[in-house]
Amino acid sequence: MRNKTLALLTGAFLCGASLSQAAATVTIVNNDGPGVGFNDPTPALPVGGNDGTTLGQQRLNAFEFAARKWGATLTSVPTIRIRANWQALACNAGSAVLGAAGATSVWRNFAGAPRVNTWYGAALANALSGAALDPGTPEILARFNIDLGKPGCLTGTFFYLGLDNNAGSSVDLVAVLLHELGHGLGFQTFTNGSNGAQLLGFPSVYDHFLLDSSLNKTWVNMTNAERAASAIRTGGLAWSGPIVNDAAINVLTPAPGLNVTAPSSVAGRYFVGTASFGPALNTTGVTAQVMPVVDQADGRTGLACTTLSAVNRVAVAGKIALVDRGTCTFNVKAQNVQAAGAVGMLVVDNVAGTGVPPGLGGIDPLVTIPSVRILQSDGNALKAALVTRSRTSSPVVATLGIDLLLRQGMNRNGKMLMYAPNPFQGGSSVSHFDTSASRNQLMEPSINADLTHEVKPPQDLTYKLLQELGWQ
Amino acid sequence: MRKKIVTSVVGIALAAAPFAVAQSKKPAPKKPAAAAPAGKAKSSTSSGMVVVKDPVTGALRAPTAEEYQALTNGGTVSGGTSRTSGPQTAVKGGGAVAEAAVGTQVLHPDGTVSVRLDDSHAVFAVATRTPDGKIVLGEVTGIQAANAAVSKTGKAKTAAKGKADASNEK
Repeated sequence: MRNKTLALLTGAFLCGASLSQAAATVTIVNNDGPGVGFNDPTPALPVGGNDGTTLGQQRLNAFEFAARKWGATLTSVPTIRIRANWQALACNAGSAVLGAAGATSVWRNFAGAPRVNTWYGAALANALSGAALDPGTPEILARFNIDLGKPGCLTGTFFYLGLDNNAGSSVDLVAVLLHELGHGLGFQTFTNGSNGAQLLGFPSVYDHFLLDSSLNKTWVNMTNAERAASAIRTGGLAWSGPIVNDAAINVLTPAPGLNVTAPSSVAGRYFVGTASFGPALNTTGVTAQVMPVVDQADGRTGLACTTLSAVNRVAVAGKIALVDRGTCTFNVKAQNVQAAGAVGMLVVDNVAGTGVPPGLGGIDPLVTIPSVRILQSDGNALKAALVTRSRTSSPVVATLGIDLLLRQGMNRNGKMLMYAPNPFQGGSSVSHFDTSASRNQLMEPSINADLTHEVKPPQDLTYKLLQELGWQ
Repeated sequence: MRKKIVTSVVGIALAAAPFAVAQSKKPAPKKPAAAAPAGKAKSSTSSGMVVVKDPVTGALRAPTAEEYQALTNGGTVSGGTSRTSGPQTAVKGGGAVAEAAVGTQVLHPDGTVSVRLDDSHAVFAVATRTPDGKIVLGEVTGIQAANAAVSKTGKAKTAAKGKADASNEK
């Protein structure tokens, strides 16, 4: 009956229940015409807790489920309205636009705005001001691909309309909706990341929390050129806000790391890229002096691609061996330093990098010592400190293991990393958490299969970031 | 300047319907927006014109110089970047604007400024089937980028989870 009612109406109208929950009312404004999208009368069997009996009703139920989740999380006196429809979007057999969501407008200098001269998305602006600034227009626009799964449109891969987070190989519509609505609620900069230009000369509220750790500046204090450079500084763009960072400690997984305790010149915590061969790192770790292998004519490089010389064997026995990337595979290096008695291996990258180093690939059941990659810059710092070593003793002491003070997805200063690949990826860059986050986060640029439908701790940090922007 | 404007509109409902403002056909602009203060640097992305919601008629019209000053707040942002909201197009003399155009800054009587967004700011989710049959999701901004991503025959750039380079190469 409901579909019939919907079909009789034309244009946009409020449909379904107003989803009054603990904190906010979120409504779906059905913008589909009769027989289309939410109003599709094609019979459907219940799936994953979605009891709709038509395709259209199941789509609407999924939207309402996502809306209810956000409504139960956020506080807003004005209703949050999502104008939604299903339509043909670009696709071919191998790829497809799933859908989109975004704010319909941005606002600044409204009554109740915490920051002046700063853009806020419409929903947040309304919540902060306590009234709908534009009562005639929904705050968020969402549209999704009506053809997904049909021949020629990511053929055979359909939206999963269940509500139970059990999409299998299908695309979990609820997860995609939660993510896209997150953008519509404010998890997004309106500043152009590729050239650094602010929207009409003013920053987004999101920009106030984007911190470039290299420049030690937030985006609002940068020039356009600095912002553009920051947007591609992988591992260097972080979130400065304490709400996210305090919560992240309890959400994210402790990270593999190298904790250098001496000498003071290089003491600190370093991120490492773990190996797919050898034993996994653990919280106990391996503590030893760090000693370099030197087997090249320059007197400072050690590739460890052949059996180590007597001098190198004496040097690394019982130590964590420091070797350089190049010439042979990682597991061969590990075999050679292991044969010389090393208790662990650090591979210094031979190209510059930032953030968390890539891992070490390969399979080798003969390797029994832990091996990791470290950034070239970190390796050079350690080598500088190793200049004062003797043949058998090193001033550098470190523990290689799972560091309970580091988190996967945060930098070593305890700041949440934001996605900043090089080259810039419009739409993905900046407006997402970094992909190094573990556990996986809803607002990473790719929606991972192990996500729950949660948006706040202990599973997720999306709500915390929205709180940082001003949401309650 | 802004206070002056606010004072002048006491009693007018606050921005009740900023985009539904086509009631009047007598916007009577006092001065075209093109008369904005000189020396305003244009942003490389600055594309919007500037209009104000007339406190009396409710219609959109070009701002006076005072209103323009209130809209842009003058000055520069820290870091040395000039304010970049200089208008590129003035509202044509006297014509009522049924609805603010996308990208147009609208100055409301209480000093609030709004901009209607279009698809160029929407975030589009793109799914791609990888050679091993997995579905990888990524995102792009704007409908044009989304269409372009798909037109690359399934080679849309997506953000792979995990580390970029973990092969056992040399």
